[in-house]
Amino acid sequence: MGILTASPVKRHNAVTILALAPALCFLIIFFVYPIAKVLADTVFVDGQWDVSGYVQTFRNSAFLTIFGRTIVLSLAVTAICLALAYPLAHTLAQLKGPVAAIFLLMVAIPYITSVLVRTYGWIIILAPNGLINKALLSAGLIDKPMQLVFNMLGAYIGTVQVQLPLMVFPIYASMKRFDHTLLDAASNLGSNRLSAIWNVYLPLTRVGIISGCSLVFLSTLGFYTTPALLGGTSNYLLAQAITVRLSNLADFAGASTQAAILFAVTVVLMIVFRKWLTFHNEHQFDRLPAGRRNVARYKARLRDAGNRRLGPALDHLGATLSHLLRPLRWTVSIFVLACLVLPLLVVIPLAFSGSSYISFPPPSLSLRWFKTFFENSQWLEAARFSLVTCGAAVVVSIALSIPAAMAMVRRKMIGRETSYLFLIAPIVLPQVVTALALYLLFAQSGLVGTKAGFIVAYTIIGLPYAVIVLVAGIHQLDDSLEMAAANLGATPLAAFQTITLPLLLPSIASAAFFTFVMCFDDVVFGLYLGGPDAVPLSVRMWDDIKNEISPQVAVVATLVFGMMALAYVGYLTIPALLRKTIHRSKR
Amino acid sequence: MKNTLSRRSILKHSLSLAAIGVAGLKLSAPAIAKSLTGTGELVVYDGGGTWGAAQKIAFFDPFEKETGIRLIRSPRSEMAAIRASVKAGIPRYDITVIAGADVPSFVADDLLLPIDYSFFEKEDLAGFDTVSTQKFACPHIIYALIGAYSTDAFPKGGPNNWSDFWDTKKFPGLRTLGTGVQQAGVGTFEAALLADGVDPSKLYPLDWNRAFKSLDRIKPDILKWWESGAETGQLLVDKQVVAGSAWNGRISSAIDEGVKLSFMWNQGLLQTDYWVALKGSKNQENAMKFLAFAGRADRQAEFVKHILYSPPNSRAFSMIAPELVAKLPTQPSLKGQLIPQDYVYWGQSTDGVPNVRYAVAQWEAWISGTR
Repeated sequence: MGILTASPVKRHNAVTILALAPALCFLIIFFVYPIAKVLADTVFVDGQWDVSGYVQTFRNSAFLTIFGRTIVLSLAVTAICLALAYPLAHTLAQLKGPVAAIFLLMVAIPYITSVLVRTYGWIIILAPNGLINKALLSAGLIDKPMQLVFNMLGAYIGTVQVQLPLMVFPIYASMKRFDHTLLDAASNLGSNRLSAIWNVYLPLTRVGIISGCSLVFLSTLGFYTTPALLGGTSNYLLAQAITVRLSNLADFAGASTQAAILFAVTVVLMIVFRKWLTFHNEHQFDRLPAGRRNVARYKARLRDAGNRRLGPALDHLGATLSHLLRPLRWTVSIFVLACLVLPLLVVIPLAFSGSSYISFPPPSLSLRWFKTFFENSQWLEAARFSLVTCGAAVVVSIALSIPAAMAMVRRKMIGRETSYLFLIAPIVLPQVVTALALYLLFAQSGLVGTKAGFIVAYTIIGLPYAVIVLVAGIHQLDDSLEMAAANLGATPLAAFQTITLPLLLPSIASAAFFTFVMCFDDVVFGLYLGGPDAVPLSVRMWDDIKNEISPQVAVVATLVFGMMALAYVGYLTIPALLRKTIHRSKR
Repeated sequence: MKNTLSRRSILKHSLSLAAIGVAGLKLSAPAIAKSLTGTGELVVYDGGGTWGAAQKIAFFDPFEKETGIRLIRSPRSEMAAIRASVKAGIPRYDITVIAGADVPSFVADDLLLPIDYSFFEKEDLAGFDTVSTQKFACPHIIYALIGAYSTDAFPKGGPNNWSDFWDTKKFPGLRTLGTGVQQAGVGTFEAALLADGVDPSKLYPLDWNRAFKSLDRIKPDILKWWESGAETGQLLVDKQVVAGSAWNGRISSAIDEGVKLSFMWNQGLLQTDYWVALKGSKNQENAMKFLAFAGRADRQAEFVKHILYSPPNSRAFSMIAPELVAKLPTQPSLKGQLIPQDYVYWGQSTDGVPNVRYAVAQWEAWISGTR
């Protein structure tokens, strides 16, 4: 009876809450609660309210310098990633079929190999006796080698490479949904290419840009391994200071205090820029149109774009630049793809080294490191463990984030921005802090060293990425199709299944892929939560290279790379083959 | 009850002597060590890589075979997680390995079990004469942080002490040293003071201001501060640097494979990693049996065949081939050249702050230009 008499609005509220509840509850139990317990210790010392730790930290000029450096690096990396990823995503969005799939795989490559392997790849390429310097020297372009690594430049190159996929995927997703007839329409209406991109394309891909920038900025804040390995003598970042306190000094209070400050500053930044970070419907261009009919809807705006002339000189410049755009875009795209792939490619020959240390090119060739890999059951067990736990975490993350994302985008509700910021918060905290907090929680419940524990931990890693990608994806869906379905009598669930879900598939796939590689790449949670029967592949690799870099890690990287490539080829060819056989059998 | 008491008193007695390092403690140790056979299981930290493989061959597999106790190898974990696990009453391992500089804080935080040395053979216990056994920690490996250099860069002979290592006029080229945030672990502060002419016997307590002044001089020639043993070895092998501080084992094996490197034993810093039994362990007796087993000379001699760490039980030396002995930092011919790191000092405080934390804070200020 109550349901029948409830107003539609109230019923909607109930639906919204139901959709958001699983994801929010998950994070409250496994993220907020344990973190709050750890952070509480920074203000309650021996049962007394005591903020002297914070006062001391803020008075410490070294801390302020390190903090400032971290913010600057994160901002700069975000800007560079955007400049590089936008043209690349545009190129990718225009590709189709297997080619597109292969190129997307190339973008994800930084994540499928251990951090030390990919940084080592960069050293092979950038070092004074590395490939670039050798090539330039032999071409006579330089007299003496340039210092391209172990300085600021190296730190930026390495960090940008690792963060780039986080920028490319959301922008790619937003462009994929973009109706390219709009650009043609703009041209037809007298706009040159540059002005069409500026006035039409850029605003319409804004959601992708925003989610990409927030992903890159937030995750760079809590990141330090690559800049530490490729940087010079003063590339010391806040996440490293926090990790050192926790891992080397057992200074829990010091680490949590700094982490709390980082977290607080980020939250303030997120609140200040929330209008940018989240999605609003009041502006028509925020919602991306799909379908040819939209051309008509936007005609006025497009004509505006064509007519908005800033004087003949600028117009002329714009027209000239427009001709350069395509070659420029292709140059950038190829350059960026090369940067993503090369560090892995140069590592592959190392796997076939006969030496027990790493040297490029390998002094002798042999399969000995492949042999030791396959003879050691620990490696294979670790690989299986990683596949199972990461796979499960992907399923859980997607299952939690689809309803949450739908609710946040579609429902008018109070606290929508807050919910969104809340769901992506785990990215910001350096992982050691979350890992320790989670460890303390799991220690009480016997989840340390279990698959279940890892699935929970990996879901914490994956959920924010899934949410960001899916919110952007859903945002771009044209809800008029679902409304049409509803008008024609479809239940909301049926409309979701038949209309929304298929349209959302590319975003789901990209979210799943992301979540998987982020989990697969994790070392920190693995080191905290592992046990004799729970060792992920990444931790095995880390274990193997902490004291000695042997070609063994190159073998693992090569095998993982090979398997992903095989899986991709299978994914591309098997459906086609199946279709053929079905076709034949029908005949 | 009676048994425990007598064991305790024996333990106390043997410990006090072992700590002084007196060789003639034979009388105080039990005449016959207790049997090591047992039942149940034991969870032990597996160091991974070559180290883990050597541990498996020399200690883990034979222990299981000889004692009947199932040995479960458990991989690396973060120090913070290990501490938290003990505090939560579910220690991550029964037996793990910690660096010498971490022992004092583990003891202070009450995370370790006292070791029952009555399981040790008296000869083996007496063999721990380079680095003594402690109440809560038994030496596992001894290694040296040394100055290594490229023989291509310095064909006429490289640096022979840290002052030479700092001398970029005599030995030009880029260098690498361990990052100060790893404080005691990488020996950078000790090296800086020795380079500045501090007498090895007066190295401790460390003169922090003098150390940073010395580091100021070398900083322009530092390519980067290394974070891991793998990193410094690789920088040297790749010729990114002409000289670097490094651990002896990795450099030795690279030299054996034909890499043109050499190193200075002189003023090398002797460091020790210890076996410890974590408090709250459910397999305490098995843990003590394992420690006694791993203290045996024959096991330690076998271990050295697979990785170049010195055996703390010097009785093992008689069972090691001479060409291997010549690669070990505690070989008799080097006596007096290497300097044992003072973990007691590192366990103390400066200005009320534990030295390890003090070092990190000072280092952070120094590299940020605010010291």
